[in-house]
Amino acid sequence: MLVRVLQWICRLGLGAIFLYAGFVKAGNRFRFEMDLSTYQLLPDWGVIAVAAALPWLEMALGAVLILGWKQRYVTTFTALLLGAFMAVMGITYARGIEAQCGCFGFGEPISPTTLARDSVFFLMAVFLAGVAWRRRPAPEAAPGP
Amino acid sequence: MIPKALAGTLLALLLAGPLQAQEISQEARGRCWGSNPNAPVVIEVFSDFSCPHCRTLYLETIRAAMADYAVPGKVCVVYYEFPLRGNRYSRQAARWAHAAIRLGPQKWLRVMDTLFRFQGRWTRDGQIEPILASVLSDVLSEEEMNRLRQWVKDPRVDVAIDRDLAEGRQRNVQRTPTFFISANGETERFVGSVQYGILRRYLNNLLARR
Repeated sequence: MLVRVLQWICRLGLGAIFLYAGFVKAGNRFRFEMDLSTYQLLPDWGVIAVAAALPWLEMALGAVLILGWKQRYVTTFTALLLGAFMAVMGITYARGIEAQCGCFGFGEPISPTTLARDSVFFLMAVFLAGVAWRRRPAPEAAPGP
Repeated sequence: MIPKALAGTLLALLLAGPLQAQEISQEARGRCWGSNPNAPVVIEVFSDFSCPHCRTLYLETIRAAMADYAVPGKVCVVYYEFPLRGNRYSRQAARWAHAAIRLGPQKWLRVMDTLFRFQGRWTRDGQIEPILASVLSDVLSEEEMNRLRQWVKDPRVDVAIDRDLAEGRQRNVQRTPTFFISANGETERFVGSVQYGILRRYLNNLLARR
């Protein structure tokens, strides 16, 4: 029962977070490009491509999480995506680069606080994926006589 | 740790979006680098001469923005001295740069160029003057260099640097480079260095929205 409640909280929470994050970025694409640029990881065309695609991916992921569709694959993809975000942010922070998170809204520098916050989201996604994969699939209908 | 992180998230969400429109002070407008002090877009940079990211931002981005946007009067750029305490020779470099304002914008720019280009040399031993004297020998006359040497010792230069530092603290600047772009009644805050191609898209969008 507790696992089920936690699962609902994590799924709806992460879904809402992704919807919000994507919505904010899609509404100010040029500003998001500036934030991505501070990571000093991608060439100009890469920054422009990621800034164009990521907000819509986040919104789609948020919607699918809330709807609970294909949970095994969606939660696994969410965990991988958050893991990738964490890796990029962690490497950037470790390199001593002053960069902006570009996570929710703008103007927030990468810091231990942003890393801790994203770790919480990552753990939520890992939990969701773990529960989804451990649950037995619905039994197939018995073949007819 | 987790409640702190969540509190930080909430704060970040509350602070998201453009800051309230800030009136650009007359003093800042007066210090603007560009042909039009009343340019529709103002970039204000808080920078430390010892900081590598400030070097990248200046040499690879702001310098190009000055040529493409500030010279035609679309943008004006204000540089604030923000020497961080941990950097041993930052304040000294800031003194040279601030004193060079009196030489006029073109020569001030050459001093800025030299301080950033040779950052790797003077940050080792604090020997700024010999570098400026040798690199700028074709730009500054001996007389100008002597005047600059005098101005660097002027206590008013330190007062001006302290004023820039206070301005930065008032705007909650904690890292360098931090820059603000004001246009269309809104001010956005940025931390770190950005690629020029990306800044150009951002500025073009701001100018198109006027």
